[in-house]
Amino acid sequence: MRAGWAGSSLFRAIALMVLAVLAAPAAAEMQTQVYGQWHTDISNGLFDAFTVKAESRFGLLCSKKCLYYLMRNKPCKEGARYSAIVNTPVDARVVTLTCYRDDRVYVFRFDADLGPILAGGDLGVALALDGQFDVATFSLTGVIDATRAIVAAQRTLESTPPPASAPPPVPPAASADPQVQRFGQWVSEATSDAWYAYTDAPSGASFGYTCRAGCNFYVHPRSPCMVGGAYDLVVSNQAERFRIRATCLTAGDWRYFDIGNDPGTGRGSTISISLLAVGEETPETFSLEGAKEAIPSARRQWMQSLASGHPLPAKELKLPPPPITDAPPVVTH
Amino acid sequence: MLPLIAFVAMAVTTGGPASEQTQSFGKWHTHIVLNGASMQSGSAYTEDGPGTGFGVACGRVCTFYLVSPIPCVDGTEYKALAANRTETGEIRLRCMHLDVGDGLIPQDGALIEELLTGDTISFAFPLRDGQFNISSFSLNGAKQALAAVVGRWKQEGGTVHAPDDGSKAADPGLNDTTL
Repeated sequence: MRAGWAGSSLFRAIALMVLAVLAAPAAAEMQTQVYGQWHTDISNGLFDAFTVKAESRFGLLCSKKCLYYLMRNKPCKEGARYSAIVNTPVDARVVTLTCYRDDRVYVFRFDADLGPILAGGDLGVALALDGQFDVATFSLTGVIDATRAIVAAQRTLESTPPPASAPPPVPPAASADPQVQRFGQWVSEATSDAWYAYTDAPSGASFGYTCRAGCNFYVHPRSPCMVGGAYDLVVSNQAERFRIRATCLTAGDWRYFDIGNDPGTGRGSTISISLLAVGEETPETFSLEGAKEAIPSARRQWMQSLASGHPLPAKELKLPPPPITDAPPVVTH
Repeated sequence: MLPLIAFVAMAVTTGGPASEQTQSFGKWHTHIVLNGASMQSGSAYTEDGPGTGFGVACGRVCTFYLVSPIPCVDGTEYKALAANRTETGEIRLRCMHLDVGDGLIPQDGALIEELLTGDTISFAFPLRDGQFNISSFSLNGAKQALAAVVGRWKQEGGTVHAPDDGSKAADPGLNDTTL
């Protein structure tokens, strides 16, 4: 049942792909099977054997390497390591898990091969979170067949040579540059070390999504901001209006705010973001036409890059906004 | 009726009690048995519901103890995860049968001491079939209660260490690590 055990960098890449699997459970090319209480999904080069209980999920995910993961609706800190004790009828083991976060989904990656203790009965995980134990239990009925199935499928794929006459890659429809794709009012763009999806307002402000060490949303305001200064941003989408506290960051002569999670790109046709400065609210409205395609495109390219061994930045960096040629002049206070 | 943890203290003492002193510090309590002016045995403990306690028992030796309503196999060593708000650690505990119930003795008292900061200490004990027994103990008053018992015990010449009575089970199997 044990496949090749992954090194730390590949672990991260694969763990990030867990998020993609979770975010797109109905992928078109997905092959699924059921083994007792376990399921297998094979799609897009990912081999996933998992079981679900309530809103939690535990499984083994393989690409070139394999890892065990736990999806739990419990907030954790991206990149932080947590201790847990895993309990099965075979043995109990203390393990370390690393948190990965994507929007509101939290995934814990096990830093250990649990294969030798997975057999029959139930598995319990007691995860130490802020001094309390969060306990999740899962059935192991079918685990051996399900994990064997994905490992066998993975090995079959690895041993299958590529077709002799593979179709040529399809260039992006709206651009001759394969690194840039247009989706409505949005652009998905890749540079040597970062991936972007963004839209520009006529004023020169922009709003988008960037991936490098991780992914986050950002806004480049028309109004100037003082680097390092904390500002209030008011976000309005079709469903809600809320305030975000964010710090003005810089990339070259650019000023931007990292606004973290999705502020509501799936809600309505526009989103407005106002920078509150000296009591004045200056709203910028951004079109969301094409956002639903551009953002996953950027994220997908980023994940593919990670999976193919793209080196991650040495440390978590604040992401620069996408390069634009008509950026307004920036005035610092 | 004395709490179970106090009986544990008496189980590791020598001689018969002459008089007793009890005190409370926040959520913690102390129970000291005197032989004349000397401390014969003592315990500092807290409880998390009926039959569940955690503390230090001092007699012939001085050691941390956990008591649990879940039976364990005498002499067998179990593993568990202990945590406070900022730290965690794997601990091994040896089961000791007493007339009044089962006690679990952490084999690494230094790790437990490290976790006695903050407001609570919690333990996750694996049970059969993937289940856990989770116990959480307040540390409100722990420092004062431990000082009252362990401090006095040290003053009177005691040495803090985990007991090594040779009762460790020989080569416990995999299944022996769950209660």
